[in-house]
Amino acid sequence: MKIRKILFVLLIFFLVICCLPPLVLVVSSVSANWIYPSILPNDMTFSNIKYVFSNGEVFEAIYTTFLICVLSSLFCVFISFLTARVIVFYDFVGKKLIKVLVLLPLVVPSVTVVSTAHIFMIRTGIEGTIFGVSLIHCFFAIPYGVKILENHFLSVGDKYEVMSSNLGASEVYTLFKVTLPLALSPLCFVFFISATVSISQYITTLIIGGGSIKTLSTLLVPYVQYGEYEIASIYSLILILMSVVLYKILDRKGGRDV
Amino acid sequence: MLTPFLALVSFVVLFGVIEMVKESFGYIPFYDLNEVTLKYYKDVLLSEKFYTSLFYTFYLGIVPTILSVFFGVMFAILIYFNDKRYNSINKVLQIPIVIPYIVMSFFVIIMFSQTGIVSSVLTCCGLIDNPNDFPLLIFDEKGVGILIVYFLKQVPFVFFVVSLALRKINRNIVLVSRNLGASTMYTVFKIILPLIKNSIIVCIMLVFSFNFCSFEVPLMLGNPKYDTLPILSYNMVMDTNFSLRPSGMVINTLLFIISVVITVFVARRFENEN
Repeated sequence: MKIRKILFVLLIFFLVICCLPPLVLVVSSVSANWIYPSILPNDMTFSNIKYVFSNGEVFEAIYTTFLICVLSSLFCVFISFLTARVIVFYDFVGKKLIKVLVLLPLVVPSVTVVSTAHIFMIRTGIEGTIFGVSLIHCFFAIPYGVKILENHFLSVGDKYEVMSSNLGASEVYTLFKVTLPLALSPLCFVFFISATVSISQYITTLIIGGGSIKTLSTLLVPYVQYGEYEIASIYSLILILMSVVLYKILDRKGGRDV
Repeated sequence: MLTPFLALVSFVVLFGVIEMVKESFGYIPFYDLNEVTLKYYKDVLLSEKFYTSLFYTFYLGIVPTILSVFFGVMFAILIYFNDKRYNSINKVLQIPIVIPYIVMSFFVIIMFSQTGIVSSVLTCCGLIDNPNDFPLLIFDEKGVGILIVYFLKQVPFVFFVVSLALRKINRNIVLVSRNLGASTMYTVFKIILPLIKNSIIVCIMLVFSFNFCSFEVPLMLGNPKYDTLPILSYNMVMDTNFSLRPSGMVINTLLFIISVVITVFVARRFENEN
């Protein structure tokens, strides 16, 4: 099996490359004077790390990123919960249209959405606020959220809720004691997926944030563009660390039954 | 119950789209442009730059999609036949998944620029003498750096989606096919690929639509001479010269129409999947 061997070698090669980014970034973040043609940095220094953490900018950015993450994920969970329920349990005119609208954020270029929504956001005055940025981030996470919850509602069905109301429970009681506990695990999954979507957004934050909202990614890109690679590596590591933490939680919450 | 979703969509998309179409016809009272005209559409559709960008955008959409889906599916099938290694490979392939696109682009710059690590290693091996001997991979016309980023990020994605579909296949079917004397290749092409066809198509659509409308990666790694359509429209809309704004909005409108068409196709596929 020649093809199998070739594929296997390629796969190993690919796996090795996959391991490289974190290593290279760690080395680069403590490197001094790493210039062509030395394979490893000539000197090691922690001054870059000290520099990054000595000004408050990075902590502010971490805080903002975190806040936007949580807010947009909460919006996303709330909206996709309702939308998925409607799509699964109700029949109405225009259901097809809703289904297409749900998938729209996956396909429409973010720049198109953002530069047009920008005008409206300025008019309503939520441009440049954390709320506005979270709304935009949430928009791009909606397709994932609705798809996941749709699958959940399809597999669970509404029998438990019907039974609960037949036994005399009020709607609110059913919601909190039956529907939400059943959907807890996929809801957590949606939360963390939309959080990962949120932390990697760049251009949306830049435009809607109007330059005053600084997240880790909007700080990172200029450092890369101006060639400050050591500092950019530190920011990248913080970003990766945040995604890893999210990914671990997501894995644990979602691994069970999604 | 649909109100929050519709509110969000109309808030983010609908009002924006109305404004966008208005501006693309040159109706911007704020700048004293009150005439409704098709001039900007004509300008854009007759300009050479638009077609270069359109071609480049489709190039960056299609080529990496073919590459990542091909290798992702191949790797997944390979691992399907060597089941023991699945868990360890799974762990390694999770690394690119958690790395955001921006960070991955940065990594590719460090590695593959002319004075990057790969170039240094080649110099130390004596294969090249100075940075100029190393081929231009970043900021180049063919967008090799962009292709590398997409490839690194999307092969694992395709791998995971296809693996999920593969695990649902009844292994006995494969065994029966082998037992009846089919070669491995025959089994792969006649049994396995048809069974996972739908998830491959979903993968192709998701990956293509991402590549097609991605902004950050071409911004960081692309050649400034060749803009993709999203970058072109961004530059025009955000330019300090306001007279470019309607043309930018024309490009936005065209992009929006293209993506709505793609969405309808994707939606139909998802329907079939269920």
